[in-house]
Amino acid sequence: MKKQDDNEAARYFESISTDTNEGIVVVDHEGIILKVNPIFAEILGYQEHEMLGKHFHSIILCKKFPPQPIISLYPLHQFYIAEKTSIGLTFFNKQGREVPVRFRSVIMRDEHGQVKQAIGRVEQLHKMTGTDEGGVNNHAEKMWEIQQNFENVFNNSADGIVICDSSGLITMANKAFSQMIDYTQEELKERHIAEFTAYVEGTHATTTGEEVIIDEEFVTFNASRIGELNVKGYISNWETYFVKKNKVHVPVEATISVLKDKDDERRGTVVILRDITKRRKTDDELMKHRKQLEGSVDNLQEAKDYLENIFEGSADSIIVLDLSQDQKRLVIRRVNSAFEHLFGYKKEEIFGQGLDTLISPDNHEAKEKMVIFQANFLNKGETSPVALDMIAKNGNEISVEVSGALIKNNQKNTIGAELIFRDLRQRRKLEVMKNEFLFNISHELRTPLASIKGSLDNLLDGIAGELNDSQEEYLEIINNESDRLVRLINDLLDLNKLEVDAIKIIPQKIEYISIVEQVIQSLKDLADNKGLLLSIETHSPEIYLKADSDRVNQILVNLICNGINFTQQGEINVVIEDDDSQVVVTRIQDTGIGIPPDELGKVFDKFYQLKRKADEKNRGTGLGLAITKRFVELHGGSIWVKSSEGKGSEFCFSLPKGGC
Amino acid sequence: MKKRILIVDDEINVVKILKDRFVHLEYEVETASDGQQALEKVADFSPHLIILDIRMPKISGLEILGRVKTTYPHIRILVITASQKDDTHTACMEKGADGFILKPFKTREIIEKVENIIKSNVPVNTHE
Repeated sequence: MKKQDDNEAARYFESISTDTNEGIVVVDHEGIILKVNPIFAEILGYQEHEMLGKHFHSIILCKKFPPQPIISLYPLHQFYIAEKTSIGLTFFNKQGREVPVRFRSVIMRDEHGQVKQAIGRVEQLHKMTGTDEGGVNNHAEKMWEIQQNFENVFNNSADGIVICDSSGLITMANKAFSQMIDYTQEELKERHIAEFTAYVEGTHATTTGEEVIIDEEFVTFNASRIGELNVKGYISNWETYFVKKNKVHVPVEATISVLKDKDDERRGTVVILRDITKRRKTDDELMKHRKQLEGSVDNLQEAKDYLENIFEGSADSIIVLDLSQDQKRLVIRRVNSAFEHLFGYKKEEIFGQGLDTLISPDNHEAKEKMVIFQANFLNKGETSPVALDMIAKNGNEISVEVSGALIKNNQKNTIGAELIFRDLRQRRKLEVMKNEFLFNISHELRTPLASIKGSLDNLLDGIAGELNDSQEEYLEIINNESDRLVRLINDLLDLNKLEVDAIKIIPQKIEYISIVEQVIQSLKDLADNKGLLLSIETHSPEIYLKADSDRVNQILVNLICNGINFTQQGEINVVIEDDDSQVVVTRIQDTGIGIPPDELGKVFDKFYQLKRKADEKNRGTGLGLAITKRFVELHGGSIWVKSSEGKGSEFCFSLPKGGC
Repeated sequence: MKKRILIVDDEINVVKILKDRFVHLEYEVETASDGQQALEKVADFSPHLIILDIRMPKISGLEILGRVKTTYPHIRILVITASQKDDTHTACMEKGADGFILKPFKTREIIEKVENIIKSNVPVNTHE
C-alpha cells in the first residue's frame, strides 16, 4: 500500500513539476524536503540538491513573518486544520532577499487519515531583477496583500456581502449572501439589489417561523433609509428583510456604504447583510417568556389580593407570627382588621410583640395555658381550639377560642404560625340565654306536672275514695306517662349542663360497695314487680374510689333501670371486679332481649332509642346512656357494652380507684 | 296532739292536693297562697312545719324562709320547688331549710320527709 501511494505521489509530482511555471516542493510529514522542481530552486536561489533533506522551514525561513503563515506546511501535524491553502507570503531566498509568493498547499494522507506528505506550489509574484527593485516590490506586495485580505474576508465572511455598481446592479456577491437567499452567485450577477429586498405588500412567511406584514408604511420607511444613504454615505444596523427565491423573508441587519473614487464620484455600494433569524427567534422566545412572566406576576398579584381580602375580611381575628431566632417564641408579624377591632391595637403597635402582650400579667392561668398551647403547637403542630382569656389594649378581658396552623417553608421547616382568635363573648351570651330559657321552660313544665302527679297520687292512694280496677289501670297509665315527662325534663337539663361543661364532678374518696348496695336496695321494688332477681356479686367487702358519689349513684341507677326495663324474666346481676389495676370495673348483666349487633355502636348516642321494645311503663328518653357515658368519662373512666341478641346484655364501666 | 303544717304555694292545685293528703293523715293543716299571707299565718297558726314553695309573687319563698328561720328557729321548713337551678338549692340550704324536694314530687316522698323532720328534734338538713 505504502509503496503504491509513494508511487502515486511521485507520478503526480512528475506530471506537474516539469510542465509548469510554478515552483513545487514535496515534504514529508515532518517537513523534510523530499523533492523540489527546478523552478522552486530557482525562485529561492538554490541548487535542487542543496534543498533535499533539509527542513522546509530552514529554507524559506523569513524573519519578518513568524512561521504561522506557513502553517500549511509546517508544522505538518496541524495540516488537518487546512487541507488546502492559498495564501500570499514572503519567502527568503538564499541571499536573504524577500521573495513575495503566492503559496498553495495540498495535504496527502494515508488510508488511516494520517498526514503523509504535503505538496507546496509557489508562484513568484514579481520577478526580481537586479538589485534596485526593493521599493516597487514592497508596494506591489502590499497591494497584493490588501487584495488577498479582501478576498479572504469576502469569501469567508459569515455575513452576506454584495458589491453593486452606481446604478445598483450587483457586480459581486459572496457565498454567504447567495446561501442566505438561495440563489447561486452566478444568478445574482447583473441583477438589481432591490429585487431581493422586501417590497411586495402582504403577509409573508419568514425564516423565524413568525409572519411579517409588509405594508405601505414598511415600504415607505425603507425608502427613507435609502434616502439617508444618499445623504450620509452610509447606513448601519438597519433591520429589514431580504427575500429568498421561495419568497420566504429573511430578517437581516444591513450595513451599506457608498464607494467613491478618488474624484469623489460614486462608483457603487457595498452591502453587508447579517442574517438575524436566530437573534429574532431568541428575541421572540424572550418576548414570550417575558409575557408569560408578566402573566404570572399578574396571577400572583391576583392571588395575593384574593388572600388579602380573605385575611382582612375575616370576622375572626387572625394574626401571623414569625418564629423567633431561638425557635421558641412567636413574634407577631401581621394582624387583620378584626384583630385591631377586637383587641384595640393598631397594626403597627403590635408588630414584633410576643403573644404574652395579649395576656394579662396577673392572669396566671391564662399565661400558663398560653405557654402550653405555644409549646404543644410548635412541637406537635397540635391545633385543637383552646379557650383562653386574653386582654385588650384597654385592659378589658376578652374570652376567645384560639386555633392555629403552622407555616412551613419549602423544606418543611416551621417558620411561623397563623392563629385565629374567635370572640367567645357573643357565644357565651347566647349560651347564658339558652340555659336561662331551659331552666325556665323546665320550671314551667314541672309546675303543672306537680299538680297532675300529686292528684294522681291522692287518687291512687284512695284519698278521694275507692277506685275500681279499670279506673286504677287508667290512672296508672297517666302516672307512668307523667313520670316519663319528668325524666325527659331532667335528662334535657342534665345533657345541656354536660354540653356546656357546667356539670363539674367533685371527686372524693368514697366507699363504692355501700353505694351499689344502696342503689340496689332502692331499685329492689322495681325488679320485684317484674319478678326479676337483682343481685350484687363481689369478692371485696369494701372498695374506695375517687369519684363524685351523686354521679356514681346516677350511673348505677341509669344502667340498672335500663337492665330492668329490657328484661322480662331472669335476673340483673351487678358484678364488681377489683383486681390489682388502677380501676374498678362494674358489669351490669341482664338476661333481657339484648341488642342487635348493628345497633350496638349507637346506644350511647344522644336521643338514640333502640328499636327493641322496652316496657311501655318505663320508656326512656333516649338520653340516659348518653348522660351516663359523659358521667363515666368525666371521672376518667370508660364505658362499653356487649350483647347477645335474645340472651342478654352486659354494660360495663370503669372508675378510678381512690388509693388508701 | 295533732302536728300543725302550713302549706305555702301560689299554685292552688298543689295546695289542695297536699292539704287533702295531710288532713287525711290527720295533721292540722293551714294554707297560704302568697308570702304576705304566709307570714301572717305563721304568727297566728304557729306551725310545727311549713311546706314552702320558692317562686312566688310579692315575697319570694326564699325570703320567707330567711325571715321565719330568724324569728322562729324552731319551725321546720321543707322546700318544694320546680326550679332545677343549683343555686336555688344551695341558697335554701344556706338559709336553714330542713329539706328540699323538687317538683313534681312523689307524695310518698313528701310524707316520708315530713314525718322524719317532725320526728327528729335536731334540724334535719337533707335533700331529695
